[in-house]
Amino acid sequence: MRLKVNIEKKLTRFNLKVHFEMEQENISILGPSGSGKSVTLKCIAGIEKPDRGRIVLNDRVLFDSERGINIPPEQRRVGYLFQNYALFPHMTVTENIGIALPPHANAKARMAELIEIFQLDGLEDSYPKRLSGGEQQRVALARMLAANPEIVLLDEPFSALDGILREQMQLRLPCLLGDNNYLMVTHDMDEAYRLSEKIMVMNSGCMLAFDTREKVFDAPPDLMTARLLGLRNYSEATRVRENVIMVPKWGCYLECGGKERVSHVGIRPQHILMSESPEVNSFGCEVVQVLEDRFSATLFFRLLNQAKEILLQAVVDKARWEQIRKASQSLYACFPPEKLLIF
Amino acid sequence: MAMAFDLSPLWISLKTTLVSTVMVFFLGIGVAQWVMSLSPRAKNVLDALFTFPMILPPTVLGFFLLLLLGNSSPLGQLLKALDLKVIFSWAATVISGSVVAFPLMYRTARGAFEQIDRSVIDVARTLGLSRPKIFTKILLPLSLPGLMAGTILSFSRTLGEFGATLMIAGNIPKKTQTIPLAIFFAVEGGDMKTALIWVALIMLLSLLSMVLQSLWSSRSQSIASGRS
Repeated sequence: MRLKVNIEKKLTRFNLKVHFEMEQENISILGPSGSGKSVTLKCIAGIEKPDRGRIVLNDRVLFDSERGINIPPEQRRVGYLFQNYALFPHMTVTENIGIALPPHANAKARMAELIEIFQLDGLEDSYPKRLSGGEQQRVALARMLAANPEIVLLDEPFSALDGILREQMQLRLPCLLGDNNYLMVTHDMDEAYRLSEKIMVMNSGCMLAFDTREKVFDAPPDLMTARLLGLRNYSEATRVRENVIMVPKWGCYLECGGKERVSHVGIRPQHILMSESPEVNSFGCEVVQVLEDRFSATLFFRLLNQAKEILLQAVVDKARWEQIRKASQSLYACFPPEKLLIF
Repeated sequence: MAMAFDLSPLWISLKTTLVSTVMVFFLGIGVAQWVMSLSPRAKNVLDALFTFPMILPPTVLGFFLLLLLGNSSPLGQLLKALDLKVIFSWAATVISGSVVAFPLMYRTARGAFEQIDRSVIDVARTLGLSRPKIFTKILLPLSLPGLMAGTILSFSRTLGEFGATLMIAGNIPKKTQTIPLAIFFAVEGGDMKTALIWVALIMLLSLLSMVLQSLWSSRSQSIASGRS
């Protein structure tokens, strides 16, 4: 499977501009709602028409504004899983799948196969309304594969499922889709990380980053991307000399390798260490507020030497939080140099 | 009432109403589909145009139809050249009946199509279904309750049509005299007994169409929502 997309489209609030290629891999598009993720999928499927550009799927030109090509969706062989699954409400499970099967002699065998793969046996004659969310999603997936797509587009596939069911489907989805590669849209970072090799970050119609999931999360190209990817602690910073930067708002100097110019520094809440003994980049701190979860706690703390009231966040596990709370010793927040994100 | 009661208005009314309803059914659905595929601007203009007959008084509508089909208009000239006499013929009752009922069918059909979840149509296209197949297998069944309601409304409206019919079809017994016309002219001639018979009949027909509607609507609801 090879997909090349290079499109532009004027939307009411911004211009969508997307340019990427994918080959034999699964990709997630991450971004806040209304960032143009779904429109990108719809352009690939042919439901929406880009203003300019080119879309090529496995050497078939699906769209080319210069040559006036715009293949209608029914001929694109692009599978699309809608957020609400969009099952045909007046058809049974079998009818929903059957209508997508190409008229072949072995259509019956294929139907039986799909029913088995997606564990829909016993539900063949049920109408969508009677099905649970997970069953509806399996019917929609089976129906999509019945049409033999060359690529699969998933639009927020798990947003309508809750808790355990969501995890189960996340586990099973790659297996259910078999050899089909997918391009998924989501605003859930864990979902994107779990289910794709590469991640694209979008905001207001622009691609901010597109790389392997590790690179995108560990070394985001700019502050905007890092913030979209959950960076909570960030501030302006300047390099004062080799290996040292100054962060005025946090009121501290941080040890940080390299000598290139710096405009901002950031660190993820999960990377800040809370300890009783000072190490490198450690500063006395005071916990101001706490959000307790079942297995972890988010500490909102203030550096003691800092003039302004700026709260930083650190996430520690529950046991550690209990220790910190009981100990009367002074507490240090440590910013490990290798975990600092520099922009 | 020595001579047999003249039943011709009943047959004329039924014939006119049936033919008009069938025509309006297909025309309303077709035009609704066409208008929905247009740009928002064209949609608004045409929507107003097609709704206009609904808000005009039937006599005014009849007056315009008379102008349009009369000998002095280009269309009237063409009809004359083809040796087709439309004004004051039975066909005129069908025309007036259709024109007054068309907006009802058009609007309910459009409403019925528009309430269908957009993603259901989109997904059908990505699954490779052709447009005719999407129309017959998905659009029609899902909009059935609305289409049925529109048909019954059109039927009732045509059955009761008086003003426009009188203007372009006149009141020619055994030819263009429908039940509403028969009622009016019976009352005008002081024949209350005949008028009453027709009133009773038309009430019966209207009641029947109401019963039919409620039967159909629950049936078509269950088809559209998959409860059958």
